[in-house]
Amino acid sequence: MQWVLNAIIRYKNFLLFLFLFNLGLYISGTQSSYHNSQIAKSSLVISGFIHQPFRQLNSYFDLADENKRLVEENNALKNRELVRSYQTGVLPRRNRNSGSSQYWSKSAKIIRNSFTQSRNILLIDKGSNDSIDREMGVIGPKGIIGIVNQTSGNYASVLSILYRNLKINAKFKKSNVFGSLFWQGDNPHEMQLSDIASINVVEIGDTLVTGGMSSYFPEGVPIGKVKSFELLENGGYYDISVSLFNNMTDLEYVYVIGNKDRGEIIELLEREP
Amino acid sequence: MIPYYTRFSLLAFILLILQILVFDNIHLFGFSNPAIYILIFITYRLDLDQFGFIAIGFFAGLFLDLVTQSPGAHSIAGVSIAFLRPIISRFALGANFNQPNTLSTGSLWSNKMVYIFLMILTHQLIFSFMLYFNMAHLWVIIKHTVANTFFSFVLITASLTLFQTKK
Repeated sequence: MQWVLNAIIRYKNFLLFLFLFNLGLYISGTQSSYHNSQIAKSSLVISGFIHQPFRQLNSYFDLADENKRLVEENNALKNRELVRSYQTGVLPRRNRNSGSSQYWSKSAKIIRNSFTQSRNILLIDKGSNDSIDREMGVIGPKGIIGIVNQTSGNYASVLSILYRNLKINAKFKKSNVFGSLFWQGDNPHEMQLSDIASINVVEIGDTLVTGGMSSYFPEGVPIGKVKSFELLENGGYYDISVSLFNNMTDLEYVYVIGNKDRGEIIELLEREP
Repeated sequence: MIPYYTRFSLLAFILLILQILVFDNIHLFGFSNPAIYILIFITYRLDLDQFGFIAIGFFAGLFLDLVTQSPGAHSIAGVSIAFLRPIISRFALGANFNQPNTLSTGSLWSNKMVYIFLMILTHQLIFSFMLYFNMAHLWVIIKHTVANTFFSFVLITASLTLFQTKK
């Protein structure tokens, strides 16, 4: 018995190290499965609390640039509005509200942005008090940004599309061919598109938009354009790299997209056959 | 005279806040974050008990993990560097590796530089490995480690020179 105690006292440093190391690994495990992790939720409150004031100060210095961008965005929106009013005048009445009214959006401000890690997470300053819920889509001025992961009262964390395990349904604007988009963990301006069969025609500069296969994003939100592609030797599939429209490294304002029919869709999917 | 632990915790807290608010927002070449908070592990007095130091390493890392939402990488790197420090200091600082004032007066300039460099390199290597957690990204890990180590080394030696305690 004595020698056990002696050994514990003698190797207490190593034992403490081992214990804390495993605790760290455990935290890693709970964090990267990114579902239902209590620790992520409590840490969200802390980091929102710490980053908020600093980000406010920071955004003050960026006001000029931000204004310019807002003007540009307003312009683009106004253009789209014009096109739409033209279309609704021409189209039959029953088609008018079918497309976009299923979705609503809410603007939010990014208070923390990361893009240097392999799994990047953004914090925004709207949370469950603003009826933002998990797994809602987030888009920026030029295209998609990510998916809401956790919410607290006034903050929410967003899995950036620059997140290694995340796959996003995307399609070609011109041909409706579907594939899945993922990030390789290196360059924040570039993503990979897979599962495009070699039978399809791909050209450099083709525009990619979100497909309607998931309930996160509306169909047709722009993502990026084809930068380069090559045919894989054995698969009959293309390996396509996509350059993103959004600059993920200097985001400030984003829009959270809610789907009014989402509850219904989830219920349908979960119903036993 | 303020007790050592009070002074140390204050310094550690300031460094952690600096790291979160300032240095995590510096993206040199688009990917490199200098890590100033390794100063906590470098300056902790070399003659004090290692048991407490390991706990300090873990909790400093845990704090950063919680605030930056990173998956445990900071805490694991922190606890590992605290555990490995006697080996590094014995290798780099030689005979007087466990004297209280070794860093300020007691050793050669070159020895100190080797000690600081090895501490940063070890920490960043473990940190990058934990962040990517996949040998397929070895090249990215090495790239991050080298760049982060270099900039952290410049920053840390500069701040050590600036805030040297006068004897």
